[in-house]
Amino acid sequence: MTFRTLRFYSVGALAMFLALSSVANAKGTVRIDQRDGTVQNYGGSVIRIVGDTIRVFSPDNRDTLIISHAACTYIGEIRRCLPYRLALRRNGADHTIGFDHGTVFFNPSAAAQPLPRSSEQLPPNGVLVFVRTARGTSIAVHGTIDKVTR
Amino acid sequence: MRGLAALLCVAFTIASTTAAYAQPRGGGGRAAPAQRQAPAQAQRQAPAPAQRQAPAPAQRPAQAPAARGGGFQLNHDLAPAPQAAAPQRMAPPQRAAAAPPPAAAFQRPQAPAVRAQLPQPSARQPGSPNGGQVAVRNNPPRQSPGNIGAQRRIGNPSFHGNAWGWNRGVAWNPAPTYWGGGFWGALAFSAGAALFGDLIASGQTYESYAVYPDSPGATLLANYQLTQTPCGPPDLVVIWGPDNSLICAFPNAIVGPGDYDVDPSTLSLVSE
Repeated sequence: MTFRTLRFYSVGALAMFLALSSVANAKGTVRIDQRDGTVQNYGGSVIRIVGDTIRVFSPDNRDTLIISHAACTYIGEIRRCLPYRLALRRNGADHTIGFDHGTVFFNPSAAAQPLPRSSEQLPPNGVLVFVRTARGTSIAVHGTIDKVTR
Repeated sequence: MRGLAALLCVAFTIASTTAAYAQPRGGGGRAAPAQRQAPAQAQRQAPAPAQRQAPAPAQRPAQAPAARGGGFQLNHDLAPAPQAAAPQRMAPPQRAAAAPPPAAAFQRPQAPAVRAQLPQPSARQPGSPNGGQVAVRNNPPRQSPGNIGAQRRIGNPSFHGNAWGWNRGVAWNPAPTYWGGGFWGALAFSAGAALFGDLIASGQTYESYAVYPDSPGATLLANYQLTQTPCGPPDLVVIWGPDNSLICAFPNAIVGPGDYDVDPSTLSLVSE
């Protein structure tokens, strides 16, 4: 009886652990390559799709990178977008960042999909962002979407 | 004993959750220390001076909020952008026939003097997809097509669905920072590209570039079994895309030589 109860609680704890782990893994990393050659890496950024925008939250939730206004097409199951607006939300205010070019890949399907003309695969809800600003800063984001809000 | 088991489980859960949320890099909301790239790599990342705007002066942004306490290190990009950094986009595409002057309302529109621009050997090597790189630029607003006949739509041979059905029902809108709005691929105006011929119509030169694979334009060409060729020679299929972009292709049994507009909603060609 005692061991059965212990096993019951253990299984419950394990299930909770797995659920929480999957939530924690629904995050991504951000790499910012400055024009002067310096690089910043940010792990644990939450990535969300809100309407037609992709929002990438800094790990400390201080900043939100907002990528919006994109021409999107489907390549197989992968959705590829060419964004043309970039903003940084800081302290509640949106600061427009001069945009040069970029590409967003998003896999909305339930299975991993190959990236176009690549041997790499994008997992379900996976997202890959490459953006270059007008000042020559490169921003790369990869991870999985935490939440999609229409 | 049951209480002890519950206590153990709660402790295990808390420990697991804490471990899962611990971030190996940039943890605690601070960016990882800046890494200086190797000089060679840094040089590789520096944009070519001919294709990019002049380097921004090394000045500290006056009004950019500091990111010292965390957040993304993008202060350099928050400063007011130089004029050259703005995407060079011309006025929205306007067909001259859309708003003709009153005096010309009763005049028969003149056919644009489209003449073949034979490829000339030059440093730019127009018409050669492997030629020298030129800065991508937007074409001037297109003059009214002089066709006085009825337009003829050539239905997409591979797609017969509803509007935007080719894009799973998602409307495609041109992105202004890319040539042709991105219809022909992710060819940014800030980039250099191989010129794929040009066309002179009504005294204006319209440049063309290679279509990117997997772009909507590439899908259009594939659906009509068209093969892109440098613009210039006569008797080609001239396809006018979004934002005054154009590409040329060899005619075939489906599409004869002439000028065509693209209907992005159905991914079909409309003759002029």
